[in-house]
Amino acid sequence: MAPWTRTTTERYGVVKWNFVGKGEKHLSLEVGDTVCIQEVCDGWYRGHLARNKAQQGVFPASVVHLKEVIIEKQGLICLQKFYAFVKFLCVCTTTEMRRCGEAYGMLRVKQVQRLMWELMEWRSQLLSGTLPSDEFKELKQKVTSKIDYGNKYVSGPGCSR
Amino acid sequence: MPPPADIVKVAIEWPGAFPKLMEIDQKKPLSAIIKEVCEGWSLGNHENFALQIADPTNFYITEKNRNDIKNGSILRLTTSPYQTAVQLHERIQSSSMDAKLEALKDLANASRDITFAQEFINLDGISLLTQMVESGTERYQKLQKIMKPCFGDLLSFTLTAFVELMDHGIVSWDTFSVAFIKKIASYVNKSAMDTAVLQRSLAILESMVLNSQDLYHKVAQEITIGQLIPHLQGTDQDIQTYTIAVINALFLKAPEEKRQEMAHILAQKQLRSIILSNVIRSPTPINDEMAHQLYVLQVLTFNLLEDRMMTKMDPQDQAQRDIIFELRRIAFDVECEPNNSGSIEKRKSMYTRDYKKLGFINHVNPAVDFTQIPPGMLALDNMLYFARHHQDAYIRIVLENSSREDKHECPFGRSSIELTKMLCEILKVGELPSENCHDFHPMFFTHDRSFEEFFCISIQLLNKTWKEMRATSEDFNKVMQVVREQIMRALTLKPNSLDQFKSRLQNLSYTEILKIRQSERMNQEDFQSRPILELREKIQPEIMELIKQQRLNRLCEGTCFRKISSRRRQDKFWYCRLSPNHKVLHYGDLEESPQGEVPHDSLQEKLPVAEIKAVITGKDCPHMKEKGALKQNKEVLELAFTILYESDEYLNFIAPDKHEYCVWTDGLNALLGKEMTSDYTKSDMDTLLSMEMKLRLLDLENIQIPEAPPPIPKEPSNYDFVYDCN
Repeated sequence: MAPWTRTTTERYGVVKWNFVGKGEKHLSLEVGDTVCIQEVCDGWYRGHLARNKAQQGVFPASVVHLKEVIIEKQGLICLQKFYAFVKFLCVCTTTEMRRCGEAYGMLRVKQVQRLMWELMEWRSQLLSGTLPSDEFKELKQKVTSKIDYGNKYVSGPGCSR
Repeated sequence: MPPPADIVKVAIEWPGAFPKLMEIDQKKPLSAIIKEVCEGWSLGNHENFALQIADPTNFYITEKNRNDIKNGSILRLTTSPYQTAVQLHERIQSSSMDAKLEALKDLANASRDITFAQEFINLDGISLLTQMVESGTERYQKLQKIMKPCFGDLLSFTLTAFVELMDHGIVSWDTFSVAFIKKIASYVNKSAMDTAVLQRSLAILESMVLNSQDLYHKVAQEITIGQLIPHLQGTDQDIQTYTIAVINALFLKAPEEKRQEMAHILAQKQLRSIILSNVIRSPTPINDEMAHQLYVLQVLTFNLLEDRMMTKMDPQDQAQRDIIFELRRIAFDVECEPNNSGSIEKRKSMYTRDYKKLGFINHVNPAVDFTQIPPGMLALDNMLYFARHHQDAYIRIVLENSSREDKHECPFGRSSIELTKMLCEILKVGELPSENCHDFHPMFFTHDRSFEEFFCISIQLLNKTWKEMRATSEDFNKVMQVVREQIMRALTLKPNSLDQFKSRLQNLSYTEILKIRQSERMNQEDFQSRPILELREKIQPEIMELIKQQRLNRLCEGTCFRKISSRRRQDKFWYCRLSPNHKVLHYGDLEESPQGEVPHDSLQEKLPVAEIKAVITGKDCPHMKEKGALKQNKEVLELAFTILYESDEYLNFIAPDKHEYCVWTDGLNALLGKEMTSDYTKSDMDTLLSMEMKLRLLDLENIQIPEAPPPIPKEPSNYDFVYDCN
């Protein structure tokens, strides 16, 4: 009967296999989810989803790929926001579009999409750890300004989101 | 129904008889089966018979391999291996040349089979063969003149049989006499030898050297590199391959102290350039076996560097320190002993300044930099070679970096040391050649100092990449990582010459590497792996639901349609929309295209959704079948759809554009509980699904998805957490 202990090195991870929990103690996970880990016992972790603290429970350690660093959140939140906007543009109706003062829904989708691909690529570059420090600084600046630009764009004139 | 597992159906041949179909019971002993077969053809003495597979391999069926027999195989009844061995043992000693030749041919053939080989070896067949090689040939020496072709065949079959028998690894190589080795070596040393005999002899020599340290010494005494080299100058790739294999074997087994000496001889005999012109640059394409031998030679040659690589610099050794002085002299064009340039202190500080410019880590005593192994002295060797043989490039690099004051300088000393170490890793210096590798590089055969040249090209690349990356000293490892990638990528293209390698590197600039990395990242998504497919399956309906909601919302907003009339086109409009509760379609005529929302009372007509029977599109629509409509162009045809409702009535539409057409057909299909199939839905789905997946899997980059589900451990024995969050 091993007791639960607090984890020291195992703090964060990315889910590499879907886990469908049974019962209320389990936390169901989807591949790509990021988790914060608090305790460990008998091959199980206890923790919560990085994006939602309220979703917590136990899950098998075997479905988690541990990462050393805190997973960068800022950019991800922006990307999620942009994606929500793309989703909105893809599925909004004429009236909603008119309210945005925007007749070129698809064009906007393409633009935001391109912005997203760019940001994803830069994010990968920043996290890859192979950029020389000068370039790292520059890219970081570029990303920040792109995000600002994107945020303005997404919350453009008359758009409710 | 599958046949019982233990029964195989086969056909059995016996010369001169009609083949017999038979079921073999794999549980019965083989001898019982043979007995049964023999009785079938009323042959006595079944112990003298055996079964063989009747295909070119001709192997004997034994208790061990009988499970390999497949249904439908053809077997042959034949003399038992023992009987055959006894007969051949006798026949090869025949006094008639023709009979003997025939027997040796059969023996060479039969020896491929391990069961036969075992029997023949048990009869002491190997020593019979060696005796024949040792003494026999002399007896025929006189005959040779008259019967030369016959003699060559005789010998070649003898040797073939020998090679085949030895190949089974039953007999140890250690047992052979010097006389035998001498004989074999003499075939190799003699020019104008029969090709088959030469090839077998080379094969035997290679095996001897590889399989016994004792024999290595004996063989090494009998043949010299000089005698082997002429065989490389022919055009027969097999002979060339066997020759290089013997050289490799001798090289590999040479004791350490002799290896450098041997390398020296190889260089003297110009082995490299002979291989380059007669093998690598020959019109015949290189086969796998040759590629392997060249790879082995390449590995063994580079392994000669191991010694220097593992030698630390001795800071007290004047000769070694002179090399560092020399580097300084070439770079800054200063005299080694500036006699009249002030005090020792001043000179010392001058040295220190110069060593800093040269990019050593330890400015005061650079010798310390070379005490790290690997790469040890090898790095210093490379630097000196670069300074001497590519003086301009060397001076340029050193001066260029020593004049920079902005922390962006690329330290020549430090990078040379790290680069040498990296090149040794890339070439796996010090590792034994692997069994099945064909990874040789033609460019390393184009220069006597190919490793040094390799270094010279790479150090210039490093300097270039450093600048491209605008790196500072804290980025050192990142630059090295990029340089490694550049070299590895250029090498995989197998450049033919060092120049070609150089130009490949030119094209692989830092920006190019970034591009390649990016495109690899884009294509990396292994959407085939199971958890990701599962996730896609799960997300897909969610997105589909979203699209469906949008289509229905659009229908509720309504659309203004153009009226169709068979007469001349008039701008008449009608409007249609879905009620907010999705139960009724309201529609009615409009005088003109509406601005803003259409009031409810202008749409008098009603069509309950429950009455809709079907939606028809394109040329099946009734209004497209009308006479006048046929003249309608194709565009209109693609925009037409019809609602078919209660008691065969129609409501005909022509959408204003493709987009609207998709929205309406999707919406109506959704109302009917059918699948939405428009192009618009497909592209929305693709856009949203690919973005959603990409976003969800963003943090999985560079993480290997397992192939099989990870094991789920047993439920934890308790849930008594340390912290209670609630």
